[in-house]
Amino acid sequence: MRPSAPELDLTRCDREPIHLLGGIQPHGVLLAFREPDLTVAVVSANAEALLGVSPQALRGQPVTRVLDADTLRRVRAGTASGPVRVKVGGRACSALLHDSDGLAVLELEPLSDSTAEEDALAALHRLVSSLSRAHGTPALLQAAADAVRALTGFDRVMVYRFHADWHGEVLAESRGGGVDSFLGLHFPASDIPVQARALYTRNPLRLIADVNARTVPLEPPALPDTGRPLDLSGAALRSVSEVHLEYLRNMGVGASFSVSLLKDGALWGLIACHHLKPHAVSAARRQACEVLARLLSLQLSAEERGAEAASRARRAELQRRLVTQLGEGPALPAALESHGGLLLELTGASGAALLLGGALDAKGEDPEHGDAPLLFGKTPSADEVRALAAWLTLEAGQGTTFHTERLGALFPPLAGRADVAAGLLAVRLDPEAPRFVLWFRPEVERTVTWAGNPHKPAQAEPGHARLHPRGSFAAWREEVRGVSAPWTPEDVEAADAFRGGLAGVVLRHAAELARLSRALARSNAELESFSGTVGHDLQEPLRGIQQYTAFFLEDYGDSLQPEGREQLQAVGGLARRTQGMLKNLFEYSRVGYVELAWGEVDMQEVVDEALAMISTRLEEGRVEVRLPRRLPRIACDAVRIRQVWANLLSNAAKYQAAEPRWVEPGFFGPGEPRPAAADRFRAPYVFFVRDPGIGIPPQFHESIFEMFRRLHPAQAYGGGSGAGLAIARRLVRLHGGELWVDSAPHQGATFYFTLGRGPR
Amino acid sequence: MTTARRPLLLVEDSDADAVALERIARRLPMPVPVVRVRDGESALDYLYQRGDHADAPRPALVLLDLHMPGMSGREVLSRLKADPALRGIPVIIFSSSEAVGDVEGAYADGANCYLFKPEPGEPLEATARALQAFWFTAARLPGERQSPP
Repeated sequence: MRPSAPELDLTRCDREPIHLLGGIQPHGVLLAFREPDLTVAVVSANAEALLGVSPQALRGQPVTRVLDADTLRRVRAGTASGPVRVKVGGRACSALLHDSDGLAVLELEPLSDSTAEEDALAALHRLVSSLSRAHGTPALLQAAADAVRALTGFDRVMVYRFHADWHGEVLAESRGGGVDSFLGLHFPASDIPVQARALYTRNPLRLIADVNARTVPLEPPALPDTGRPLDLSGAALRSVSEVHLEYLRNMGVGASFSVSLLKDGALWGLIACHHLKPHAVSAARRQACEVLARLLSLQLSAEERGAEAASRARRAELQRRLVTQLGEGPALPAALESHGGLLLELTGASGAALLLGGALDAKGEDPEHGDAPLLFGKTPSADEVRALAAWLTLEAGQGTTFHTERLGALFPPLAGRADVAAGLLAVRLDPEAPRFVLWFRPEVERTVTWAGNPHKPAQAEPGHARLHPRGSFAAWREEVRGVSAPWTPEDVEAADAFRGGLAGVVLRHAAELARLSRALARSNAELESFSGTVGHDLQEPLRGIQQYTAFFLEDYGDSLQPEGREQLQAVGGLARRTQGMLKNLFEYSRVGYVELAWGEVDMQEVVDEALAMISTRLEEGRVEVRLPRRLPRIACDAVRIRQVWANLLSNAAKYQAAEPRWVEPGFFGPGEPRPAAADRFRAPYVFFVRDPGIGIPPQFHESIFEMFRRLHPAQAYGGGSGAGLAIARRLVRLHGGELWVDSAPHQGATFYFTLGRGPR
Repeated sequence: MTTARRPLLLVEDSDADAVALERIARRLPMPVPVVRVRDGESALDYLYQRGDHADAPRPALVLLDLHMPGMSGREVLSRLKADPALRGIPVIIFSSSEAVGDVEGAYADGANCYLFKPEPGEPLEATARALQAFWFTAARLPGERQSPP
C-alpha cells in the first residue's frame, strides 16, 4: 500500500535508517574487532563500567584484553547455536558474536544472579509440549503467547499477524493483571514501517529493555572504511528509532520484545511483548523464544495449509449446494433469492448482484433497458449496479474474473458507495452481454476495530519537527478510506468455480424454458383449435335454432296463440344473441394469433376507409366528422388499424345524446404539445378519437376494455356486444402500442392509442 | 331458355342453412336448380365428375361456405381457381365469418364475391333475393347460350 502525496511525512518513517543509528542500549557492551589480528575498531561508550577499561584504551588493542583467546574460540564456536556464558572482568555475561561491515561484533550482556541459574532448554521443553498439545491455529497462538509470557515474564504478550496490506491484527494475547487488552485490535501498516519489517525478517529478535534508557553511542561514530556508522542489523543490543520509542511510550509501554514469525521465509507476524516497566530478558531466554517462534511458524504453516484446504472444501461444498439448489429450483431468480446467503458466504462478501440477462429473467424486463439485477445483502442500488455492469463490459478486459479493493478509484460513480462497494469481485457470464455475478465488500475502515490508541492519544507538539506515530494514525485512516479487505486467491477461485457451476445451471434452465415454450406452443395451438371450435361449430347449431324457429313461425305461426308466437320469437332472439357473442369471442381469440402485415401506411387513407365502413351509422345518427388536419404516414398493419379506427369512430358516434353530434380523429406528432392524458404512454405519435358524447365515469376507464363489459343495456345506444374495445386494444397491443381513454360523464370521451416500433 | 340449365352448386355443411336457402329458393323465381353437397371433398368430386357425381353437370355458379369440417372452403376455392378448366366458374363465398382475414383471403384466392351470411329470417331472404337479382338477372354467366330474360 503506497501512501499518496499528502501523507509524505509518513514516508520519513519508512526512510529512517534504523539499522545505522550508531548506538546501543545500555544493558550491554559492544566491541567490534578486525580479524585476524583481533584489533578492536569500535567500542560502545559504556565499555568501562563493565570491562574496567575505557573505550579509548581499548581501541587499537587486541580484543583478547577483554576475552582470552580460548574463551573467544568458545564463543565463536558456540554463538551459532546461541549465547555463550563467559566471565568478563569477574562477572558472568552472555556473549554473542556476529559479523558486520567486515568486523566481528561481540556483544556482552551481564547476567543477573536470578538468571544465572536458568535453564532455558528446560523451559523450552515445557513450552514445546504445550504447543504440541494445542489444536487449531487459535489454540496454537494462545499457547505460544502463554509460553512466551511464562518464559520472559512480560506483562502482555500478543501474537500479531500481518494482513496482505501489512496492517496487523492481534490474534492472541496473554497478559497479567493491570494491563489493557489489545486482543482483536487492528493496527495500521504504517505502525511498522517497511525497513522495520525488513529488519524483522533478517533478525527475528528484538529487545528494548527500557524505552526511557539513553542510547549509548559507539566510538568512533562512523567507520573510516565506509564513512558511516557500524551496521547493527544483526546486533541484539541495537538501539531503536526515537519514533518507535515514542510510539511505545505513548502506549504506556516501558519495555518491549518481539520475535518474528516467518512463514516460508516471509514475515507472517510477530510475537510482541510489552512490559509496563523496564524489563530485561537474558539472551538465552530470548533465544529460547526464537526457537519457539520457529516451531510455531512450522506449525502455523501446516495449520494454514490445512485451513486453506478446509476453506477450499467448504467453498466447494457451498458451491455444490448452491448449484444443486439452483438447478432444482423452479425459476433461477426465485431459487437464488432463497439462497442469497450461500452466495455471499462463497466469497466472504457482504453483498452480491446477479445480472443474468432477459432469457432467465422471469420478470420480463425490456431487454433494451437492461435487466433488473437480483440483489443480495448490502449492495449499491439496481441502477448503480446496472451502470457498473455496463462499465465492466467495456472496461474490465476480456478475463472472466475481475477484482479490485478500490472500486471507487476505478469507477468514480461508485466512489461515494464505499459503505457497500469499496471492493468488487466480478465474474463474467457472457463475453457479449453485460451478464455478471458481482460480489461487494465495504471499506475495511468500517469492518475492523482499529487500535486508535485509546490509552494515550498523541500529544500535539507545536514546532516539533519530528514525526509522532499516533499522530500519523488519522492520516493513515484517511488513506484507507474507500479500500476494502483484499480478495484472496481462494475468493477469486471460488467465484470462478461458481461461474462454471452457474453456466451449467443456466444451460439446464434454458433447456427447461425451451421445453416450457414448446409446451406453451402446443397448448396455444390447442386453445386456438378450441376457440375455433367454439367460434364456428357452436355458431352453426345456434343458427339452426334461429332457422327452425323462423320456419316454424312461418309455417305454423298462424295457428299459434300470440303468447306462443312471442315465446318462439324469444327463443330465436336468445339464439341470435348467443351466436353474436360467440362470434365476437371467436374474433377476439383470433386477434391473438394474427401475424401483422407491417407496412408504411398513410393513416389518412386508413381513417377514410374506416369512416366509409361506418358511414351508414354516421348518417343515421347525423354525426359530423371533424378532421382538422391530415394524418401522417406511419408503420402499422393497415387492415388491423383500420379495424381499430372503425371501432373507435363507431363507438364515438354511438354514445352521443343531443345534437350537434360529431367525432374527431386526430393525432399528436413528435415534439408537439399534448395534454397529460395523451402522454400517459410515451410514443412519438399518439392518435385519438374524440367525441362530445355521454362520457364514461373514471371507475370504468379500464373495465370498458374487458370482453363483454357493457355500461349500458344491450339495446341502448344502438346496442353492442362489448367486444369491440377489447378487440381494438388487443390489436393495438399486438402492434406494441397501448389504447386508453380519458373521459368524464357528460364531458365526452377521448380514446388515445399509440403504435409500437414496427416489426422486431 | 333451355330446360337443362346449369345448376347452382351449394357447398354447405349446415343443414339448417341449406334448408333455409332451399326454402327461399323455392319461393323466389330461381331460374336454376340448386344442388347441395355437404363438404369440400364432395364439392371437388362434383366439379371433377368423380364418384357419386360422375354424371354431374358443370355448375353455373358455386355458393361456397368457408368454414367446414375437413377440407375448408379456402382449399376448395384455391383448387378451383388453380384449374384453367374450372377457373371460369364464379364462386360466391357465403360465410358467417366477418373476419377481415377471411374476406381479404377469399378475394386473394380468386373468389368472385364474398357474401356475409345474415341472420336467419328476413335478412337471409333479402340477401338471397339480392343474389338472385344480381347473378341470375343482371350478370351474365359463362356457358349461357341465351341472353337473360
